Amino acid sequence: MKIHPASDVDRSAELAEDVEIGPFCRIGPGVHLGPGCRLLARVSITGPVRAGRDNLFYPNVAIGGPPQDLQPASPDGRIEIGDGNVFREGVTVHRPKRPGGVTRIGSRNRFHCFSHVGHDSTVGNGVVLATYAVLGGHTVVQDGAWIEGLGGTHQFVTVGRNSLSHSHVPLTEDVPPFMRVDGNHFQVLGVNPRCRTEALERAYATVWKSGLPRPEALAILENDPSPEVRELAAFLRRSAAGRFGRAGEAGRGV
Amino acid sequence: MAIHPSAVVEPGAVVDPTAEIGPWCYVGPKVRIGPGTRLLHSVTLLGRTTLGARNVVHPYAVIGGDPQDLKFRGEDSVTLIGDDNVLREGLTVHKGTLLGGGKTVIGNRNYLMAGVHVAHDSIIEDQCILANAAMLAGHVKVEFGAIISGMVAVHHFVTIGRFAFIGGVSRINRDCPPFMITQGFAGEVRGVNSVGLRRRGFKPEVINALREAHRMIWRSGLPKPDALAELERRFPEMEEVRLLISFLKASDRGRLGRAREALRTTPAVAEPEAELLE
Repeated sequence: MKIHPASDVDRSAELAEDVEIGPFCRIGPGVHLGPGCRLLARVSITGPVRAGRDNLFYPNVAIGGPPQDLQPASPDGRIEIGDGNVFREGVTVHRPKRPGGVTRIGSRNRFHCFSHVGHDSTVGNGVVLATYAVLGGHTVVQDGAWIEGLGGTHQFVTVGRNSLSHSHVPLTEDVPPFMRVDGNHFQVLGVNPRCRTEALERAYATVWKSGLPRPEALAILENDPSPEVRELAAFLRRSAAGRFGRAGEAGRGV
Repeated sequence: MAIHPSAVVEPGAVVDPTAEIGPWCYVGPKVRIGPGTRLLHSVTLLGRTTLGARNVVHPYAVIGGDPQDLKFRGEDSVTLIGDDNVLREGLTVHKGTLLGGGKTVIGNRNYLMAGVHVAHDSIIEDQCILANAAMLAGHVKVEFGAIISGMVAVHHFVTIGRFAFIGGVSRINRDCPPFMITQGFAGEVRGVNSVGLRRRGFKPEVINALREAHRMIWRSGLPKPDALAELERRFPEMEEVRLLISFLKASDRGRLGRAREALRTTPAVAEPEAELLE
């Protein structure tokens, strides 16, 4: 374990053998860092935070601050982080507000400079938040989704698997999986070029181009042989059931 | 040499005796700092970063960090910063990638405001201004005297022309012509940057010629090649108009309206990061 003498590490923090901590870091009580984690410099981690293996923290990252919310942080909330994530300069991750809540980050995600994970949010695996992309509270980001620079989610939004949200787009509704959203106002503009298939192109045309009423379009999708198209249909049904096109609204307390 | 006792300057760093390093700064082992440059406090300098003379770097700036790019393989690439720049709070500058030319460059007398992001292999020439949270994706070139307003995102491989002005919260996907105002969600040319040009001492006849050029190219409805040919005929001696025309031709030759796309070494879609605005 290499801890720079200019850093302040609480005695109760649990650090794996080969953790590296550069200068001017502050590690509070209740922090657990798995093997291979590296904190380059000036990183602040305030517990309770549990991070797995091989996470890389660049300067000025702050993990574990209280939620940016008028209500206080939950006294028993915590942050859980998987393996192999990269947190670039100035990234912030906030503690939950819900009692017993968890702000959860999976594995192999890349958080670019100044991106933000709000309280009670859940980030899956292989997600990219580009520079200044921000997640409002209670956001769910499914595996492989990308949010480009300066994009942001409303609270309680679900960002679907392998979706692509272009820069500056305010994500006020759930982002359908495998799709690409863009526009001054939220608009689904096509299939994400990274996962373009004939079946998904067909599904996109059925839902967003055909002019069919949404229930009829979804009925067609649900009988499609492609599992991805059926996943898209189930996602859209859940979003429609929530308020304002956000499935997560169903779990909203107040 | 004024180095605050709480600052960490790694062995190997070359710091000019007249440079100042404030409290809690971190200066990596391959960094070079020129005369009169001041790091106010809590500045982090990483990698093979060179700062010239009389730069002022404000707190929480991180310069020379690794590129946010999938084609980066840990190479020891370079960040070069010239003289007399002001680099404000929380700014991030990333070093280059081997495939992208290996260096990120900031010239002289630029003003980069709080939270600005300069990604790998980008080049900023001299006397440019980038306002708060403006960000350049990789391989971008900002030419002499250009101004980029707050929260503007500039796509990979874009060129911002000389004395161009980019309006706030714009998305820039294509090259921005010199001397013009470009603004909006779709990054459209709005008019001549006449205020900026006047402040920089351009003569009224030059500004009027550029106004005429703007009208012919973007407002007349003429096909662009015809408009450019007509301008060449009418203003054969006007250097600024010639520069505008050659810039537009280069952009149109490039893929997707970006002349610098020719520098792309990785396929646009198969390399997913290439399409991602950082």
